[in-house]
Amino acid sequence: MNEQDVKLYQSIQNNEQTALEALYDKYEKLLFSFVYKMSHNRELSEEVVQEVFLKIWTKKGMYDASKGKFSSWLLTVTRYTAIDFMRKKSEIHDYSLEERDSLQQSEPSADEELEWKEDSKMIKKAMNHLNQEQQKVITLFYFKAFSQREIAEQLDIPLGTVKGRIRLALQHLKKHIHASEQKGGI
Amino acid sequence: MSRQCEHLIDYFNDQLSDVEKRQFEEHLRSCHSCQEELKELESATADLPFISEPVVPNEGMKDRVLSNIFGSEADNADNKKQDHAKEPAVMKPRKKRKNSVFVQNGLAAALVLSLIGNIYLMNQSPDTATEQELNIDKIINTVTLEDTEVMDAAGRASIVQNGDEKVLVVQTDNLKEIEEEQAYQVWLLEGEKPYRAGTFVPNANGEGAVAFSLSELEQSNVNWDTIAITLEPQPDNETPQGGDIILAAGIEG
Ligand SMILES: [Zn+2]
Repeated sequence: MNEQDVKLYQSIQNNEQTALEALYDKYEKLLFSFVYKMSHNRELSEEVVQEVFLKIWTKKGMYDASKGKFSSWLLTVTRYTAIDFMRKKSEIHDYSLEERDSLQQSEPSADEELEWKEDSKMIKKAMNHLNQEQQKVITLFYFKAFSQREIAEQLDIPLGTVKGRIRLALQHLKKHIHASEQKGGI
Repeated sequence: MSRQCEHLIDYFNDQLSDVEKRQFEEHLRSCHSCQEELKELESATADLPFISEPVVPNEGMKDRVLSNIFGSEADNADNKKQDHAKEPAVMKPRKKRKNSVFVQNGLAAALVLSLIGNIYLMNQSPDTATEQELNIDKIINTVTLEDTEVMDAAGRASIVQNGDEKVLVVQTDNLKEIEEEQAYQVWLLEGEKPYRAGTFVPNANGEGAVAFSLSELEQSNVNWDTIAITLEPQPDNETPQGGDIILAAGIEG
């Protein structure tokens, strides 16, 4: 998986358009869905995906093995590009009803289950083990990329406790992912 | 624990001001607990994107994205071939075109007019350390390009810091289809002196884009203050050849 990505990336260094296209095909939906989850904005999601691939194409040598797994690197780049674009669009930071509702749909539909690779099911499942507030913490922190102050306001907790809540929620998540891995799946 | 340690979350989420960010990075170099926590945050969140519910991308997105990307690349190659074209010359409207008020009235007037309206500058945003490590581009400045009355086009120009290099990125849409020999040309103006800053041909959807390195202009101490896009009869003109100004805006490098 990573090997294939790295190979494509190397071909992109040689200006092979077909390699960029292949990489695009492979990640379009994941990146788009990820940015959409962050922004709830289709237009912005497309802009971000374009920006990410534009960077990969025009600015050679951004990635190398020291940056870790290619897909993780790509997702990190995508997240920061999205944060940047979201700030520029001055999206109103609002933990909307829509968001709250979407968190409550805990079971992924059969269709969705087929979509991402296997371990994504595990993460979703682990996420469902967290209570509503922990899920909310992760959403506000990771997907909305809110500031510490905004998170404190949304959760109505003291500023000084935000970091602790985030770490706790992430640790719980990790524990459940770990547990299901040990059981050999879900 | 120092007060700086409290900035970790905002640092991870790229929510610090430039100054705060620099201070935090300074702190990070010597604070083991922040280093550890940052690593922990990175690894604990690495798989989270996969939670995203699958969303079908916008219709036609792939074509748009790839043609924008490869369009800008073709343009760069084009620039390399035309090294001689970098020579600045005085920008004068040449021929009058039937459909162009602006060329009749002169370039200066056109630019002044085009600058009226809602040009807005967006402040640069701090990038995070992660971004720096990854060497991600940072937008220094973005302006919305204002259309003239030639056509109802729209566009955006950004100056992007890419390591030591600054790159001008221009994206446009709603451009009219052009004839065989024609091309859209981006110019940076220092007063009335134009400097070529890329050529492009729009795709079927009327979208076009250019990425242009500003290093050479910077080395020559060119202080441009305006960006303009013209429709040129040939793609390789050294100076605007009677091209109508389609889009323009004030911009600072
Ligand atoms: Zn610290």
